[in-house]
Amino acid sequence: MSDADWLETFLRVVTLRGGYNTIVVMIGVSLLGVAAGAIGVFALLRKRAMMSDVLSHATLPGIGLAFLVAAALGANGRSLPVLLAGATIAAIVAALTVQWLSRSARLPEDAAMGAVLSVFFGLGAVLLSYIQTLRTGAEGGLSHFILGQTAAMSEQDAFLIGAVAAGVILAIALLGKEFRIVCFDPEFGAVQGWPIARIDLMLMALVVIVAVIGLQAVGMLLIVALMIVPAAAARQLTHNLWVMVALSALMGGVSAWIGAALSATFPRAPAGGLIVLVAGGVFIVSLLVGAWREKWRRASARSHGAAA
Amino acid sequence: MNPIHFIQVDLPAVLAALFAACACALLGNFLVLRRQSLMSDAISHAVLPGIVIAFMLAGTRATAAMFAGAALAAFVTVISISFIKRYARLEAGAAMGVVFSIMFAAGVVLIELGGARNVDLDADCVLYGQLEHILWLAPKTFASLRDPLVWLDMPRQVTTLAATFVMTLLAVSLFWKELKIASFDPQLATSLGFSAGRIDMGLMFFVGLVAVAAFESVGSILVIAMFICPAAAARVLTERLVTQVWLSQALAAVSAIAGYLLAAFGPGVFGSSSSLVASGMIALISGIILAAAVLWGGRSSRRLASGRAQEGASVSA
Amino acid sequence: MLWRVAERKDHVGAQTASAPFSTRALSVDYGNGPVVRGVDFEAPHSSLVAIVGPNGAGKSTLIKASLGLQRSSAGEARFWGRPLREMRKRIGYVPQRGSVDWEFPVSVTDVVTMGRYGMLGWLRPVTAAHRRAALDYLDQVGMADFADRQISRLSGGQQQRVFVARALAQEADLYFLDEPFAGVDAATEKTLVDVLRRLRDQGKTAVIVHHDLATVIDYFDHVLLLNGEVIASGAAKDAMTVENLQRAYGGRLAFLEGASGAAFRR
Repeated sequence: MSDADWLETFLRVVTLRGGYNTIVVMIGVSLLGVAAGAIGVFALLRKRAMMSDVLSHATLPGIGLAFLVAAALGANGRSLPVLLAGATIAAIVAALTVQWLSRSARLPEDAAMGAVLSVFFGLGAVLLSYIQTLRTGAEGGLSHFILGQTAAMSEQDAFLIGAVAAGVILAIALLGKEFRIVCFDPEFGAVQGWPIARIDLMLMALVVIVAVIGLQAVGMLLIVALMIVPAAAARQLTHNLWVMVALSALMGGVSAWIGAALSATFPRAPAGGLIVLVAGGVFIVSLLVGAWREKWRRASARSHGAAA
Repeated sequence: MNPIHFIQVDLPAVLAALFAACACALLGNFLVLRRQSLMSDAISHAVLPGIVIAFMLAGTRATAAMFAGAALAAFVTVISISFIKRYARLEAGAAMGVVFSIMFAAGVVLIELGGARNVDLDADCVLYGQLEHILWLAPKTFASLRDPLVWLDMPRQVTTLAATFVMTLLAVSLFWKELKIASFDPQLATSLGFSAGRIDMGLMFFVGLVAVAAFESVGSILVIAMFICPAAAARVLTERLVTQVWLSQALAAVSAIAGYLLAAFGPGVFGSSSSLVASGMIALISGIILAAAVLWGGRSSRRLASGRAQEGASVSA
Repeated sequence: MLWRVAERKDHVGAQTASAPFSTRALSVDYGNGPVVRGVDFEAPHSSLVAIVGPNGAGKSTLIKASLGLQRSSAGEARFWGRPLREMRKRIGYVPQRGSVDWEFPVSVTDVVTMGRYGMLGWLRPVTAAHRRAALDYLDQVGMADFADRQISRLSGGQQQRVFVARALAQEADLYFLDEPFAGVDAATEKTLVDVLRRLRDQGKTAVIVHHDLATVIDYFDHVLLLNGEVIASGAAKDAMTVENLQRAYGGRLAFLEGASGAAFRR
């Protein structure tokens, strides 16, 4: 493809002129980006960034098992709801395993997290290679969940993803106050009678839901980046939590939008990588803008001080 | 099956897995003790763009170019993480997550767009490694094994990993005292004149080195299991550092050998002609060993704790 | 929401004889021997109570265990003779200042509004009325001018005032403060003492972990002298005897006595 060609394709897709299916996919993926950016703020502030990464890596064996179970029952193993249900269960089992391992006195939590991340992924890899030996022709479809592939998304998939993402956004809007107190000062919240452990659980449940619906577009290896990177970028620009949530959601949505358009332009490249690279660009710009504003603020404070 | 195939196909793969697992587990002991396990995750992901760029420039998977690219990428990662922690108001986990996921994303996109994929570096290699592709074609018969020249013709991956393991072993024995004190009490180490920061940099350098060497064989995600699981299992089972390190080596060796053999020959037992992905199976076995260690060791350490409580505060560690 | 506020007023009106805060045989054990051993204590109505004792005496632990933030190994804490779970809404808390992330994206007003979350309950948003209440309480601690500041851009004393305003916003009847005077400036200390006295005058009780022996008798009505177990408890003047302090602090008192011994009754 020549330079002019891909630029033209990209511009056509990013301005929603890429055909009905592409438009639906772009909107679904962008809603996913908005939901990921919004929940990412709380995952970041609650210091659960790495835990979110562990849970999304751990979805792989769930996808493999769901496929095998569905195929054994004679159902369509590649149906998205079935695979996502398997992924969710695997993430829950992974969370429980981390908890169980770190109860052992001598095993620090970070070691438990790293072990679960890689061992669950290992189990998933084994299951996927087993499925490959069955020669059902579905293995290619399954491995797209690792690095993401928007080209493989159907309209129905995009609707499902968009609808769940919208639900997550609504849940964050409703539970914002509860999440804020858990992230800022859980002890104070506990004294007021808030069930901290249960609110934490809801927060991680939303993280898992976003990770699971993000599997197809972004993939399990990089979905956590779509949550954390916009949140980290927004953090550079504001001291207000709700502004941070809004900014992060916007940045997540825009990164997903542009990334999905790039993915339609370069169907060979993993969509997750493209989306996260766009988000990374947004982060670097935010870091520079934030540093520049801080410098300006300090300088103006100093000149005020000198005047007084 | 022709038995010589075992020597040609499976032996080099087992050796590569063995050296990779033992080198990782050796360093893993200190990562687990210092609560830096997730740095192995960050570094093993983040070296990818360095490897890919080196590959694109050199055109082959030449060892020297790959190490240079990866070392540069690891350096950029460690510097950016500490820069972001300081200037971007992010906690360590988030800073790590931001840096390594962006680096990894750059790596996977470069593979597909940079033309590297056409030759022999693709996403599957990044994820699962290529243990199955290591071949030692020099020995044609069992008799030829007596010829030293045949042994010199060991595949590049195996010799690289063996050299990495030996270097790691030497470094750990040489700096044993320093590593021990820096893992136990970084402030004390600094006050005694062993800069904890410098030991830290050294450790990270070796983690990067081993991660790159092992990357080709077991992939960038499963290498994390090699770093953490055997060391963590050994940590649960013993309180003495020397014992822990030896135990971690034994458990790593068991995981590597059993994992590979199970993946290669397990399906055959059930009458299937194909095999499963070996690196995944090795990670799985190491995870099962860790779970068993926690089940068994958890009980004995509880016994220990209750015994200690009865003895009272007079016992010191 | 109105009925809940009304109900609370009733509670205050119909105060029973049971002490607002009492513990019975309360012990806390982390696994290496007890940190707090069999504490029996009663805080009187309308009083300022100091918990005093050397480092590691279990002062903060006693408060945290009473508030359910740490597991106690034996005994219990009661509030107006009832268990914690029934009385949470009437209890305010100021944690140690070091326990939060000061870079967190919240403003001073945001922090104080969090004191209202307990009366809001699930899913109900913060309204303008709550924000107005938050501003009132900020005014009481002299921080109204800083309402929009991000909390890391405050001095230590100012941060402490914000946390006290947050506890005031809880509109509780019993307050727990963990070392509120640690590392604050003289102006803040005076403001906080005034706020506490005003609470007492409204018939409320405050239990405060305190470390400055010189000011105990000046600031507080009642003292719990703690060193793992109860050394003494009672009216401040009666409890703060040199003999009791020596039992609590051991040899470490010699220095304290020289510095501020005049404050203690012989």
